[in-house]
Amino acid sequence: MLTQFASVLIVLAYSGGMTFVLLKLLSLVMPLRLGERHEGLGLDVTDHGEEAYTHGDGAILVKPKEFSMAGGRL
Amino acid sequence: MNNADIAWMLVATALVLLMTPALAFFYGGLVRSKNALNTMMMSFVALGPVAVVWALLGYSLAFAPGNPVIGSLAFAGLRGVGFEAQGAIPHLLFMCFQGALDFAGGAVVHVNAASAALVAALVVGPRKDYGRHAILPHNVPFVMLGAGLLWFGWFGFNAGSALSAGTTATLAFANTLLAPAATLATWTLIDLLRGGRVTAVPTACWAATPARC
Repeated sequence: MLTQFASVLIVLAYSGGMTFVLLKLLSLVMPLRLGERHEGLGLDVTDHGEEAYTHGDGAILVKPKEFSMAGGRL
Repeated sequence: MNNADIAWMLVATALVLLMTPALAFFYGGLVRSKNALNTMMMSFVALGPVAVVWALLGYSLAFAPGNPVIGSLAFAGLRGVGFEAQGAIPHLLFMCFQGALDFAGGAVVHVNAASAALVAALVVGPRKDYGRHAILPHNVPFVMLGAGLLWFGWFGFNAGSALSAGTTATLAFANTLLAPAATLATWTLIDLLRGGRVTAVPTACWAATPARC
């Protein structure tokens, strides 16, 4: 029981710490957040060019080049 | 090996695989409609590359004889993974079941994921709409559909983890039925006493989560 409790704490600390390090490293080469407009529009339109729900006209298709995947340009 | 064990493990593997699209519905319903497809694709798209990478490399690194930290490349490309017995079932089926578990996760995966998710949320920060207007689940029926399919899949996950059909699988099966049921019953009572009614989204969450071993 004590061993199980300790293993949970160790996993929490290890993966929490590693996640922090990996995110900080990742942030050196790419932004971790989308641009304001990108986030506001939602990822369905910007990253997939599709909508989940439509109103009789079919899903809209957005050409990929109108949006940057990393969100930096929006 | 006997055909009863093999038959149960074939079904259990398929049940566990269903949990990935189930999660897509569960999470997809919880987000706003503008992010529904993206959230569902996060889970759904993994079915392709994860299964291929698992078969070609991951299975070998996880299960081929190696040192205590990591396996070897002995099973890379499924070399030497055939119909010979691996416990009570064929080696190839063992590989498929473990691959399906890889999608769905387990006790270790969830502690790890919880910690990683908390740190990531703290580092990235709140959504720009947070505190400006309500951020609500866009499709509660999707959440309930996903929760129901997850519970169904947990039977394959938990009872299948016995890697054979027998008393261990039966015990896990009974727990998978009763643990979420007891949680669900307790939650509905708490919700009723707290707010005078039973709400759907938390009920679905409580039904989907406690079956995790």
